[in-house]
Amino acid sequence: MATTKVDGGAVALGKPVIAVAVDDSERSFHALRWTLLRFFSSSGAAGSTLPFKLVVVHARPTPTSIISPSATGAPDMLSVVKADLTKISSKVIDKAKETCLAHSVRDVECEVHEGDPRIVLCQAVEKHHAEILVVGSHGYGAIKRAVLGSVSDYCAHHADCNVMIVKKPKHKN
Amino acid sequence: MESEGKEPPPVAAAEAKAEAAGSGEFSKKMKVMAAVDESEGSLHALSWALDNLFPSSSGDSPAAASLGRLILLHVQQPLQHFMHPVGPSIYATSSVFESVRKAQEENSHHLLERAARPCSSKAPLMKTETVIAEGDPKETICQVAEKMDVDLLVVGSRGLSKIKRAILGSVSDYCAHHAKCPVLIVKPPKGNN
Repeated sequence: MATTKVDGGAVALGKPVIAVAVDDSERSFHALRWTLLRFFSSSGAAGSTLPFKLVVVHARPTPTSIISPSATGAPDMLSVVKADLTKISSKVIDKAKETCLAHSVRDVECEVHEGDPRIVLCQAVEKHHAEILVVGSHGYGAIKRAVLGSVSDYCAHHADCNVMIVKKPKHKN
Repeated sequence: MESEGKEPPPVAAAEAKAEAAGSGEFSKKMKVMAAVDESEGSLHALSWALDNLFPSSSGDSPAAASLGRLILLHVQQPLQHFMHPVGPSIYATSSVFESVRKAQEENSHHLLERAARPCSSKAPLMKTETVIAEGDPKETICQVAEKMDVDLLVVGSRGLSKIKRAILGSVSDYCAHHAKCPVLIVKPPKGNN
């Protein structure tokens, strides 16, 4: 479990937590940017105290979810895949930190866990007692959702807190 | 049709920075729509939204004036539903129809009044509007939200189990998937069964 604190300065006690789920999709970064814009913009002079604390959660897929351990040459492939996944997830976290800084939010806690995103997100919500969980949305239809599974669906029903589903707007004509 | 810049289109972090700097003022002007009905869940969702989405709305700071709008939407079920129990009396006079309709409208107005009360006490400086629409709740909520171009749709949740949701249908589920704007699902407070 890797937890990095970005500028872990004065962490105000009792500030409600907003947890934002990110992965390597543009959708989730759209959700992060939307959250930063709407909830973390300090436009006023007294903007130094933001009402919420931001926690960014990233779930790194396990190598075995991509390659079955019984495939030929699996042990070598697994280590390659694992290295790749680690690289991708650190890029995701870097991009997330960059995005937060671009919106002048320095007090961000980033969490990376390996595992099924649904479980990772719900556990992160419990751990931080988050008030809101923000997730992007695939915009799948009902059948795709039933077959492929939907993280936002699962979280909307099982997370302990309120859930905000942020969609990337389709291009309006 | 270009929206008036209410939706952030940035792709790169640099763009986002410029946008954030430029739109700092307007970003607080969030147009939030809260769907209300008789359930406790929706009233709880509304008061949660008031407490958390418009935090600086109490007091007389000048920033409060630029806070954004809150729209309370109540969807009335179409009247046909009420006629079914009346049964075979097809000759029900129009006055019955009228009085049912009037009762329903009064009900909606009372409901919205009750919902608007915490708005005026918690956020007196914020603009609150009320809208009554008629139709199937889940579709209507999404349609009205799209028509009024809201930035965030707030719905309560009954906390139904998976099976109940499949049978009874879930408005919050439908809105989460079909609304074009971001949707916030507010769960009932813990400890309330």
